[in-house]
Amino acid sequence: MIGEEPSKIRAWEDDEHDFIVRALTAVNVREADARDVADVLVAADLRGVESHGIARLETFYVRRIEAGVVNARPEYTTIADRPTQFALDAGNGLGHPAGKFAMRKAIDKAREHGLAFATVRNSNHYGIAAYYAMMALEHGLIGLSMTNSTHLAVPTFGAKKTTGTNPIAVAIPAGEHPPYVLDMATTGVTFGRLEVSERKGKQLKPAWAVDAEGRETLDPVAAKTTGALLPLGGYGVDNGGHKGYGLGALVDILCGVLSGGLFAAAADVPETGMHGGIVGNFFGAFRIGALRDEDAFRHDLDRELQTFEQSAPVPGAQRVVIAGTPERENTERFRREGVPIDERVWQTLDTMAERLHLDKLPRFTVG
Amino acid sequence: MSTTDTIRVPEAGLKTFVERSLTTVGVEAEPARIVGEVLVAADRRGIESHGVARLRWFYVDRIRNGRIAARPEYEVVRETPTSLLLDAGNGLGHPASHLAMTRAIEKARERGIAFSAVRNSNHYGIAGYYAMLALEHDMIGICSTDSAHFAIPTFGRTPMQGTNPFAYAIPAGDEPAFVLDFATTTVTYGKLEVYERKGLKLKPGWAVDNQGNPADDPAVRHGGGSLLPLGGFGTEGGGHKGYGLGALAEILTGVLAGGWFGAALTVAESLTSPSGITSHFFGAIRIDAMRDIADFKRDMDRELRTFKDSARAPGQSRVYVAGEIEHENEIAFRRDGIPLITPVIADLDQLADDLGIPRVPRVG
Repeated sequence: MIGEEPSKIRAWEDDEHDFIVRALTAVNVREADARDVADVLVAADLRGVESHGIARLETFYVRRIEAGVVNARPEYTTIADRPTQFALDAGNGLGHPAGKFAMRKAIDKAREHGLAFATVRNSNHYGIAAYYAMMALEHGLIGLSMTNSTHLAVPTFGAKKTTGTNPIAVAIPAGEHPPYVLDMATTGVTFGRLEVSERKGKQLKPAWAVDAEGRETLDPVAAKTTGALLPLGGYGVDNGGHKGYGLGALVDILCGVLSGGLFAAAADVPETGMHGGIVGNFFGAFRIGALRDEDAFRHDLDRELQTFEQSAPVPGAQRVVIAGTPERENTERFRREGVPIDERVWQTLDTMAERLHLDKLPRFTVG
Repeated sequence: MSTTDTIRVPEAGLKTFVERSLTTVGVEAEPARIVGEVLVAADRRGIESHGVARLRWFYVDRIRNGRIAARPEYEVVRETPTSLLLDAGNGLGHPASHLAMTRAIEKARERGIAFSAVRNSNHYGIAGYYAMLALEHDMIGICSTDSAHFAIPTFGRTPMQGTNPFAYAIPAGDEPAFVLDFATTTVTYGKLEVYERKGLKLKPGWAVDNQGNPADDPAVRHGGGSLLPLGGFGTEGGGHKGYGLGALAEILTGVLAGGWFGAALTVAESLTSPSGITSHFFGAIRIDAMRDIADFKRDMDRELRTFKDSARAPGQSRVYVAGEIEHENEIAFRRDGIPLITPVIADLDQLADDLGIPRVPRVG
């Protein structure tokens, strides 16, 4: 989990992918859709974003399909299909296949017309935002991905949760250098961070969370049970909390209002509860050549990124990194050494496998 | 607003003054008018750091000393039905940006979405102004710019980016538009100046010294100190996100426009520093291509009211939405005149006398 050493109990990437596909097809998801989900969840675990990987397979996806609140086999409806814009109703299906479908539409349209946006409504949790933005990279495009979610964060000076962690992801291809991949929650930290602090019995840091009344708190229990997350920048306006709040609201407007989906009070449900169809997404793709010679851009972006990386670190720090570097390094490492899965997650996966009459996910332990 | 003494000036008179100042130093009438619009819009919205306070030393003096071209030649470097790249010929940033955003809006009207970029430009004032140009066309407007470097990357100690703002403007129905215009640093450089003047300590998360260590003394700005990205020092408060957004802004402006970027922009901001180093990015999105515009605006009203009507933290009187404070300033200042602090008024009066033009009129 976030802020902890990776688990020593590992699975190979292909086995993990296969297990996710088996679990979802067992609850009647089409194989192609199940593969889409597995692609995104495995990518999250490989990138070290464990909170958004296989750990959520049962509670966010399998259980909601079994309960009938998420459709195993949704019907998609095209709301708008224009040269540069596409709007999809995902029929309350799983978020990942709908997200990939809409992002592919944006990519196709951008290749033809220079740029395109796509929205998705009536969808569900789609995993890591970066996955969809990064789909643009192999086409040499800049990719953009955002999602709204169940409410976890207060607005600046507010006491009631009005937005989710509402992430923004942008992926930009470079030349020799790996791409620039920014994937950030618009809150200071994610909910998982509060859980880690509670488990370790540690106080929260300032700028992370508020209690039930909207006062800043360092108590992980108060924050987790009745409190809420703070926007990026923290409490009030002194450290720019209004900017994080503004970005979170922006994401909700583009994903919820522009898509014609649910937003604001309508999306105010518990994150792990039994609900469906409340999520909307916003995707974008941009052709670099619409503005500039693509090779020249890639060459210059290499220089830009190297300038950051070669700049002097503050005393006590090892290096200056650019967005996406730690996740890329994790991916290389975990492909080689196996995907770390938390011990408690292994237990839920094994129990689920038994319940669904599946072969368990094979594992091994590293030293 | 500052608590320093202020003098109220009429909006129209202030615009005329900006125009006259610029035409007197050789700028043509229409570009001068646009600069007046943008600078006065900043003051009218209460963003005094980016308004007429900068008229003399950002614009007039740099035209007079030959750093900024008074009558630039623009060049369209690349153009498609959905995109435009403009070389601003080292002219003032505002007219070039107004043109690039206007063209993006025109293209978006035809094609649904468009973006544009400007290079070889200079300071363009508030980012929000250009994003807001989309509003009357029922479009979403987007804008960003880079600048000379003031801020360190996370765990770095060399300034590697400017305050690199992003602005987004989204129309609503009865509610004022959502206008988010924010620096990707925690605070702007001007805030350090204000705190130094008032003898106050900086808050954590604002600035570092020349070694990259957190600093609370505003005087660090004289000794190689830098601003911190939104989220503060290190990664615990999310400083890497502000840094990531700031880098994104420079990639979308300087790198994508083929302008200055990276180490080349690590220059001190002064009257004689290089010009033509700034690049901008603009976007326009037609809403009615995705949804019925009346439905969208009605839903925007509901969305914004949900924020505004939500429960407040103890001791707080309001939950705002982005752009609301600036909108209220506009209403009040249009009615009562725009408040300018006395040092700014004195500076403008001096400029008027230097240029031999009438001083800014006062209200009443």
